[in-house]
Amino acid sequence: MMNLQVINRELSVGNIDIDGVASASLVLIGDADVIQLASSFDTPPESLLIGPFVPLSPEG
Amino acid sequence: MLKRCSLVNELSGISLSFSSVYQLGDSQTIFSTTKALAVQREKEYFLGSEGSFDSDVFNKTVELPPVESNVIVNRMNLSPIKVNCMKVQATAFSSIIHIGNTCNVYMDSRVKHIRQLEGDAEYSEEELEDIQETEIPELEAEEGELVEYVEFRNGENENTNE
Repeated sequence: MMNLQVINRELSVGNIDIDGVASASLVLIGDADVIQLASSFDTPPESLLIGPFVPLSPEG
Repeated sequence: MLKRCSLVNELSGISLSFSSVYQLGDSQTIFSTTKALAVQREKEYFLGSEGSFDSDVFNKTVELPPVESNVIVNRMNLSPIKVNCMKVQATAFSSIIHIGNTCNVYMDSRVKHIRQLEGDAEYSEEELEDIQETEIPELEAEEGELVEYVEFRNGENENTNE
């Protein structure tokens, strides 16, 4: 067992300027106990289709 | 139970969309997921009923590292969180702007990109071989040297370089 003593004295933020936050992202000013983030991004070879426009099948 | 105050002077944004949250003050649990099928087409052609979330990227379970549980954390919050001015132009797709303490956060994003370009129908096997054999003429350049942009014209470049 480990004991961790945290003393939060001053947390003072002046200015923050962000253009965009997207895809299950987190901007946190403060403490957290546990943070678990996961991200999957897929652009498979078959994702580039060249040809006449056909609708994507509803089954995938 | 009130644990830590958050004093925010100004928080501004232009858009907050698709299940996104501004959270001022403490929170206990955050569980936020997003699934997106992003289709880009050369021309506008979209049907509402297209596509599905059947593919692997949406359904595979992500293995997370185990949470270290043998640490006892003791916090003393002596001062509130102060934020003067925060500007976030766009917050989207289950994202969170959080000013304050939190305990457990789990967030998961799954995106599949599909691009569709306008063109003639499928390539025959011979054509595909041709495409693979055609090599872009090499232009030798030293590292850091400025290189003139040469348009690729399928083999014609070999002549113009000589």
